Amino acid sequence: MRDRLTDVDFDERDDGVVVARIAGEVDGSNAVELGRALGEKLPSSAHGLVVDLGPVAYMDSAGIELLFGLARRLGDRRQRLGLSVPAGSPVRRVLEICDIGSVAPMEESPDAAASRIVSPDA
Amino acid sequence: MLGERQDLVGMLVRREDAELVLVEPERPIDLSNLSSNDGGYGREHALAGIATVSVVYPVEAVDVDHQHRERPAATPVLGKFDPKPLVELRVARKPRERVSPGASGAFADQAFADLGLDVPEDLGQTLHGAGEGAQLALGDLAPKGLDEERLKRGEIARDLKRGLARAQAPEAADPLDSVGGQLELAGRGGAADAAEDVVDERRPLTRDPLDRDVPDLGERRPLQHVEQPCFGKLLPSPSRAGDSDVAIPVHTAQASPTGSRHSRRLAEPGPRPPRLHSRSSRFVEAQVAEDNTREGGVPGDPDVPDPASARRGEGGDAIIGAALEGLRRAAHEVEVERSVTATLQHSLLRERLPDIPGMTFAARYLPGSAEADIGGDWYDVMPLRDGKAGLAIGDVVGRGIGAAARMAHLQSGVRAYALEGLRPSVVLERTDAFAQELEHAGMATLLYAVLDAEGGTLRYASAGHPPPLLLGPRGDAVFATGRSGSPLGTVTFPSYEESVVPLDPGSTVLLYTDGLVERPTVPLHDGLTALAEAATSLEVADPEELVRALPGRVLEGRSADDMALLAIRLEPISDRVRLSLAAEARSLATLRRVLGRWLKRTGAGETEIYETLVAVGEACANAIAHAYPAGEASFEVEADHDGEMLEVTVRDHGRWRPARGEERRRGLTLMEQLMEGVEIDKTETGTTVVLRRSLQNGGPPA
Repeated sequence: MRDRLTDVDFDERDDGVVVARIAGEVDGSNAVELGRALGEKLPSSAHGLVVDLGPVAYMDSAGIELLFGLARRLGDRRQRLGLSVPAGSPVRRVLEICDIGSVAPMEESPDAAASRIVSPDA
Repeated sequence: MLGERQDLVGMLVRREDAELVLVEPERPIDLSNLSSNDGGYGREHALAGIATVSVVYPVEAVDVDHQHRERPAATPVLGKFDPKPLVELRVARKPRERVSPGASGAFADQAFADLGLDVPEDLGQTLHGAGEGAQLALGDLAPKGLDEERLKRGEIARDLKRGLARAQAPEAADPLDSVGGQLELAGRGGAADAAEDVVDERRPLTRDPLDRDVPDLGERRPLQHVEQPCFGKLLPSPSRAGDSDVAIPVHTAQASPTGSRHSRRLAEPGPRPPRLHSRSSRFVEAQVAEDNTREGGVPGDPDVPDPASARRGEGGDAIIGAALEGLRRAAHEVEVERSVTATLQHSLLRERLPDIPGMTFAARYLPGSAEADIGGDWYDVMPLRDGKAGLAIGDVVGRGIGAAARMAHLQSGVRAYALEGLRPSVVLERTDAFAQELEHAGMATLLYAVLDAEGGTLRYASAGHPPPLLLGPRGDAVFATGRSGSPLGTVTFPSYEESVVPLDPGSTVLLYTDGLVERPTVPLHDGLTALAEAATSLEVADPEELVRALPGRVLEGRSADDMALLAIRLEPISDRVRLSLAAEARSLATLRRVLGRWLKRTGAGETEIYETLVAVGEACANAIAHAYPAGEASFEVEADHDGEMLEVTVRDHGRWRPARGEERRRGLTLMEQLMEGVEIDKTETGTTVVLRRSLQNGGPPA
């Protein structure tokens, strides 16, 4: 029986943004696989990927490394990464400490994050 | 009902195909417990016993209780047994006197049972009339078809034949009339057909070696009416091995060439058969070895002579064969069903329960006291996200393969919905819809619960299932009082209420099926009370011990339906944490479970818990990354708090290399930012990290 840490749901929006909703825990035991799954799921035609961290219960530096790596790979493909983290989420402070904002804008909802990807300068 | 206590040692069960089965229950049962309205318990018991034994006791008195029991249409016991009347042969056991002619009563009973005849008032006389007649004919014929090899293998009911043979007696006035009449009545059955063939060929009586009149049957003509050959493998009972020296006189006139060999064996001197036409004791013995389905008797088995040819021209053999065929086939079918069901059920129930930190699981499945009583009870434990456990227990109505298969469907459904992370009420609603899609859905009860060790809660919903029993850390037992909804498969749009039960560390949750609390004559409330009292009186904290000891304590030796038990204990939380974990990434989740639960216990706030877990997780990730030697290394975590100050120590036995890469640097940054103090002490033998922070919401629990 496998440990069950994380679930991911993908939603392909009409505006060409894919939202990946991550629930559960991200740590050194699953971050690499999760990062690979996120990258592979994104069609090359998509504008970008929003990672919705709303339902995430735990994420440490392994998960943050995943996000940095993902931002890099998407950048190589001229796609953008956006993050959705609800205000008050404990994950938010961890992400801020690591300055994730330098590679991916952090919004409070998937919609807001998707809008940032579609119109970055709006 | 018989007045005095007697052991039920034999039963005749009528089968749909008019074959007859002699059955002995697994163990003697108290007849006073049996009544015509006992819901078929006695019958099931008897059927379950088919697989092992038949009827084998010398008896002083025989009392045949011919009851037409109507089986409740809704609860077929086993699909292949139709709800037809049942004839029971109830005899008072007299184990020591093993003399007297044997099978007459049984054969007569068979004839009655075959036809569903009323047993005449003068029971003994009638039985003897029929039985003796049958035996006279059979006894004459029996040796014909036997050779020593077959006897040795016990393939034919040797002992039965002895009894048959001994039934020859000069006193029988007109045995052929008697047997003819009875067997004609019984003519629809395979046994009777065969007998008729024999009986029709009446011959003048001749003298046998014991100087008795016997019919000269001459050449036998082939028998055409016997159903498909399927001989039981009949073996002497190991426990009665000594019986083989019971001397039984057998007449051997007209013995065929092959018959002479076995005649030597059977024609030893022995006690004179008692007079017939009296209520003499009887001896019936025919045992089906439990393994008969494996060791032979299967059509096509090269070791077994073709039963058809064996019977052809050998009327007695044919009759016996036909009678035994039912026994053997029933035994085979029951055995097959039982073993398939058991295998199916066994493979469906988790043998190894998941390892979830903070919880200890134990489960047990008990088949019913009758061996065919393998039903649709099941339990399941699923590790869910965030260290929670999904617990399911259910009971599919019915027994046997069908019930086990339905259970498999439902189990899959529950598992799928549970792993979706759905809440208990939704899991039940979805499973109900799922169940209604099944072709043979039937009814089922189900309870699904999510146990959260860190939060100390049990959230559950019930579809007609008995309530969880909650055992407090001090042994007090209460039932959860949440409302139970309709069983699955009974309402088109059911809705289920959810209840949340707070659980202290050290508490145990017991989930069970109704076999543990329901008995035919006892109100459910009393059964529940008995369960709670038994659980309290056991005073055991270990779930394994609980599920092992509880059924016996509750049932106090009473036989019961099948049942499943699932016990989950929330581990007590000690004042401080001391953990030794394998140096692998999987340990990180375990650490979070244990530490998170402990932090919650200290009264820390949600954000404090989260940030502490991340900081400690980073220290542990480093310990894992630098572990030496790789593969078998471990690291230790200790946590304690002194009032408001929390201190966590992570100690490994490797050497930290200079931080390389962004991730490692971020880990250190997180530790420093999230905690108030970080001390890292690197030595040749290992690295120790001490993390400290004050807890605003902290303070020891009351």
